[in-house]
Amino acid sequence: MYSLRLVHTLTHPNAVYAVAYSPDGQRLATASLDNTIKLWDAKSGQELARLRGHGDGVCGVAFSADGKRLFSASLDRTVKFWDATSGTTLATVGGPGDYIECFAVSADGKWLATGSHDKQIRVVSAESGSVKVVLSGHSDAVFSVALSKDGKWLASGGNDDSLRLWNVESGQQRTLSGQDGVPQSVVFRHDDQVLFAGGSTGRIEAWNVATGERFMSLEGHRGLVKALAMSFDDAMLASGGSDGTVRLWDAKSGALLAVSGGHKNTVYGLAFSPIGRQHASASFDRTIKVWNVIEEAP
Amino acid sequence: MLSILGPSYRFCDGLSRRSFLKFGGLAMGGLSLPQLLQAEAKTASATRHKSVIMVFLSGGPPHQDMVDLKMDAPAEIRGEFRPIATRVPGIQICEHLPRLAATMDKWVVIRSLVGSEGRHAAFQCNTGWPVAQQPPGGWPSLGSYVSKLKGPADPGIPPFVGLSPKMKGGPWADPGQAGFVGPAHAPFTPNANGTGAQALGGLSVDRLSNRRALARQLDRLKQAADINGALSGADAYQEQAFSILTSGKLAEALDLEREDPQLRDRYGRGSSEPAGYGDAGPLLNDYFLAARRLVEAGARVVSLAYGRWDWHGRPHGTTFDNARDHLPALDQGLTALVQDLENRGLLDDVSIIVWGEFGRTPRINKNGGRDHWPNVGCALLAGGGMRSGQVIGATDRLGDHATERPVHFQDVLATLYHRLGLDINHVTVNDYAGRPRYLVDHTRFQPLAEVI
Repeated sequence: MYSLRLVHTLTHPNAVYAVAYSPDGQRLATASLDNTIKLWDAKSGQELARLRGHGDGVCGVAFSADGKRLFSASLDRTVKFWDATSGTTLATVGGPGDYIECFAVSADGKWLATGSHDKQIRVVSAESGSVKVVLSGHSDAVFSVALSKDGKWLASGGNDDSLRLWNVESGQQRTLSGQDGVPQSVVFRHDDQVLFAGGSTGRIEAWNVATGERFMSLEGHRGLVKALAMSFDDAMLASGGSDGTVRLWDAKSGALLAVSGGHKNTVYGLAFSPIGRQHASASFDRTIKVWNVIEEAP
Repeated sequence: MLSILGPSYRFCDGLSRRSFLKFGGLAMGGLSLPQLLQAEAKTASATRHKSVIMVFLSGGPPHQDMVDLKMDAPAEIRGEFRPIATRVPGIQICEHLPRLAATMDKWVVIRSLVGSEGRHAAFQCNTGWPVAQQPPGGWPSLGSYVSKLKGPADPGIPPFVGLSPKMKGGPWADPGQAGFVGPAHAPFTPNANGTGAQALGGLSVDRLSNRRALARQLDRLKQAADINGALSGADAYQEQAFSILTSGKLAEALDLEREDPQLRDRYGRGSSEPAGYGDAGPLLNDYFLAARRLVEAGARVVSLAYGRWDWHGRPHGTTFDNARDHLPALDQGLTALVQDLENRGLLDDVSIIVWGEFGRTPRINKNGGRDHWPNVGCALLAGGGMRSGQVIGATDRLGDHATERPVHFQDVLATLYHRLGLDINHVTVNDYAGRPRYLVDHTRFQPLAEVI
């Protein structure tokens, strides 16, 4: 059995949409509807910096693979590249289109993806900011997006009730079936063999990426499952929802390991630390909670 | 408006009598000097004045997610929230308003607010009228009418104060316009310059209390006036206006640091950053406390805008995300205000109105939000000696339209005027064309008989 022990509660003055750990686990970055990104010391919880520049809420944030840069996606329809030390803006990408709803970065740090209310998915080079490809096919806003480790595969959930797997190079897609309504969140296991999708009435489904077979269903949340994250060893899946809870699951068996009801509003973002057993949750309640996963004695 | 530093330089370019009066008038929320002097004479009266606090929920609050839940409606209309019982048997409201529920005996819930122009603006809440149909000079807001007809209750406090800050969404920031009663009756707006509750038009609380600094400013003013010969006979007024302006009472009322910190916590303090998109006012519960202090000190009407309620859904959060964010804060602030007024023996003298410009669509849109719905909305009333602990009006199964006792914006304003001692069936004020205007269209709208 496991329990979640609250280590820090960090705050923004408005809803928090995303959280990310630096590759060395020493810093956290949080993205908020207050149009800013905050940088934090992950150990002490001290606020290190506040990055301003977006013209609307920030819906996604991620560190580069070397931790020197930060990427952010915003409702102002742009993606920004930042110097993670000085907090200065290095580049701004995007502009046309509609609100960006979701954001993902490949585990190898080379690719960024945004899903938008203009129904399109854009895959962008994390190095140059150039658009690699625009994936079209959804008939409504793209609500969730995830990239495989090497950025060759992309999963997306749309407000058109479809869950799709894309070959980023060719642009070909296939629709997976059996999800729980509109896919609100998606995440690849780090070996890219399994895709998890959080649904609209509380279920999380798991698919074999190669075969498209849905093989597992995790139940417990009430309402939207808005956030998913995989631990770096792929042993655990964390989920967050509109019920304000953060749940920890055995990613292999689907067993529920722990539940925390610490948030007062929808959990929109989750991230595991690369070190130890820690993760952070970001919520519309204007807080970010940092949790240690404690293994309880049987 | 209390821009003492600015006008001193303007006056050096050529001071007119009207400029001086405007200076004095602007500084006191639009009072003319004769009115200031009359107010001084009236302060001997021991009668407690009546007041109104108007809380404008910018953007159109969702009636069916707050006080008129539709549990019999389909899921795509019903929404996520559950109703809870209140202190008054038979009345249920949203689960995220538990303190309001616990004190429902002090509230009047209007579920059938109708007549919205459908415009994003505070204007109709302030005046009762749509923006589109205005007489010469424009419709005055409640506060400006009261300022005109009643004058100040205390010489040190403007009769009409608007607490809202500047906003990107301009019409939401409207604290109430003077219209044809004249700019002398515009609200005093301490926060409109964006410098915070304690800065008064660029002059800090400290400097307002600094009589020496003010005296120097007025001396320069007088010198310029003497040169221009524009202030003949004004010396007596000047001296008395100076005393009024420097009484310190207004600065004290706005200085929340003087309040018991525990009480301030009870109100909830809140955040001064704009809520939601950032184009509306903040969820600042300190505003409720400031309003109490102002009416207690002598303000007759205090208006404030609270939060951002125009929730169309993602990507700026679903209507339920935003409601879970706003409702607890509103719940805490409003109930603290009512309790505080009651504890001070003021509740019967202070009427509170809480409302927005319209309701929201019954059907939840594809982005998890609700859109504008001028068909029907909701409002809350408290205090003012009104008969509380009741619901007025009803809507259909879907929250689509009023089915019982439609209540127009002007019915509500008529009620507030009544509580302020103004007879809407007889009192008139001339517009700029000289035509006498009633405070509301009294041929169609009257104070709510259920509460007076």
